[in-house]
Amino acid sequence: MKTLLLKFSGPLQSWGTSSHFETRETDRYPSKSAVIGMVAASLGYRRHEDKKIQELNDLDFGVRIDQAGESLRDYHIARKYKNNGDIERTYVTDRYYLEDAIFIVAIGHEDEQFVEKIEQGLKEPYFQPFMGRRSLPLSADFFIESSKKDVVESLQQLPWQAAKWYKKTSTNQLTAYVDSDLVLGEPTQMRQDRAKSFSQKNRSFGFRGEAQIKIEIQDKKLDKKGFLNEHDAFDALGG
Amino acid sequence: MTNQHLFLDIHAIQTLPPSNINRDDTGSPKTAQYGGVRRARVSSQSWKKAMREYFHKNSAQSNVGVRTLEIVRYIADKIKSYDSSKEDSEAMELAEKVLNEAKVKTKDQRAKALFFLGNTQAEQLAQAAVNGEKDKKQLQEILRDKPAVDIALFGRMVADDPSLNEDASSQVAHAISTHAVQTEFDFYTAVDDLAPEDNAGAGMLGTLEFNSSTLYRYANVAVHELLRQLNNKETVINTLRLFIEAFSNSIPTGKVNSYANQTLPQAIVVNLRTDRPVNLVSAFEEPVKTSNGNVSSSIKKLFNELRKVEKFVNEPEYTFYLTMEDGDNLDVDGVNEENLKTLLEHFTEVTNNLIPAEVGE
Repeated sequence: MKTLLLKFSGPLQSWGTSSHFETRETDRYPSKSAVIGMVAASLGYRRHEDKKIQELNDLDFGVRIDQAGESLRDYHIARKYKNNGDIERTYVTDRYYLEDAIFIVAIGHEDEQFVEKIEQGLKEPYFQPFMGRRSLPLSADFFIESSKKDVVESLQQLPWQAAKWYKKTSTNQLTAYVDSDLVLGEPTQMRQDRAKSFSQKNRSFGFRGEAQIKIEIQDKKLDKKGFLNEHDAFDALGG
Repeated sequence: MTNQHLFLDIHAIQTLPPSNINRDDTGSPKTAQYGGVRRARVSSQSWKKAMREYFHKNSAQSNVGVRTLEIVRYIADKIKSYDSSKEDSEAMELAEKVLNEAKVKTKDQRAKALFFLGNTQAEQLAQAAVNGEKDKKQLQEILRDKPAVDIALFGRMVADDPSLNEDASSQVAHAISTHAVQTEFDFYTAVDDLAPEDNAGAGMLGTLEFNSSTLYRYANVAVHELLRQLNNKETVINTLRLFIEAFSNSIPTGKVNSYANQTLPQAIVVNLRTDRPVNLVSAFEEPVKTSNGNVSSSIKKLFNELRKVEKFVNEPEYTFYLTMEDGDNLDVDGVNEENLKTLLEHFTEVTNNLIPAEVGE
């Protein structure tokens, strides 16, 4: 078993699984199909290579919400021009983003060589990886580590990756969503998030089951209620 | 270029006075939260539009192709350089014929709509015309095969015909301020010059929203993919030069007549990397706080981050930088350039050695 732990952070991210036409939504946390797209792009797969892309669905997947982020609507227009250069029409295409969010994504597989190939791809990608939209590059420190543990255990053991200011405003019980076959008896939902094709002509996605789990983070600086032990009045003032 | 990746990274610190270059449907400047505080934001779409316009205006002189109605003239000149015995009128006729055979419509020896023709495409069409090539398929392939440089760089989406879509080889991030901002409101009145003297009111009143910011801007190009798209080393290098120039010198025009915010970057860093593109926005997760202007601290933070990320990634192959700060105080390995022109000259020399002549399999 080998698992890669990745950190998605930065000003903006966007993880749509059900957007069409003029309104481009984002979910509250990354989708597996987007991460598969990122891996495929890193490995230099092209859009029409459905078979190679579909194989990546076999990866075990989990995502932990370390810093929830806020929703942002971005007003955006696109113009369509006639052949003679006149404007034919203007589309208003609202785009939604998550701002200031931090997620931990775990991808793993029994076949360690398969995971090592992906690790190499992510570290030296062919196409630029991005967080849901091309304009949202990964941060320099996105690769945390690779471990021998499975996806669920890796997510349970990694320390909390949120910013200091955020930890003070939040409890240290984190939510994670993992492939439903990795845990038993947890509440499961279906999400249209199984990558079938990224082809420009026929993008399509199937469904995958996703289970919600809770993870208690042991962080020395926080007491049982999730408050900081140290009292730092100057820090609170932003000094 | 077997398994040999090459990424161009470009970073800039650029300060804007009170301005509103990119706004939403209510007229407010765009923002984003980062590091727990509100930042000024300029969307990637907005700055890309400014960059594309710079491309359209300057592509001909940088020899990366032209967007023009005069495509017949453009090809005729190339025909004459291949075959100097051809009279001008003869070359024009030949050029028009080869375009029409490739199904490009012309009228009075001009294109019917603005047409982008890459340098390589024009040369190949001219060659085909001289050789008397008549195969429609082959001629159309010359036009379709190699996308125009701006389409290769920035991508194209055609909703009606997905087969014409092209994935961009560049990536432009949203620009955000390195520090917290608050949007302010400028209340204004306009006086009616011909109003009677005892009239105390204004002709109209309103508010404009604005903020001032020091922005961190970032973009990159997957050079190996651009080479695959264009398949011509010289065009690739000229395109990258123009990309750096456009990134540095363009600015979105929103409300520019109200604020005259025509600034240029205070610092640019260009990196060539063989491992992966590296965005340095994390330098500003903790916002810059200063009572002494944001530019200097932002530049220092940027250069510090450049060194810090080497814990995660390789050292860049080459670093060129240009800054209004005293470059000697900045602890960086790289070439401290005098101006943009010398930066581009050095860049050309270096990429000439780094980029292979052809796409490897």
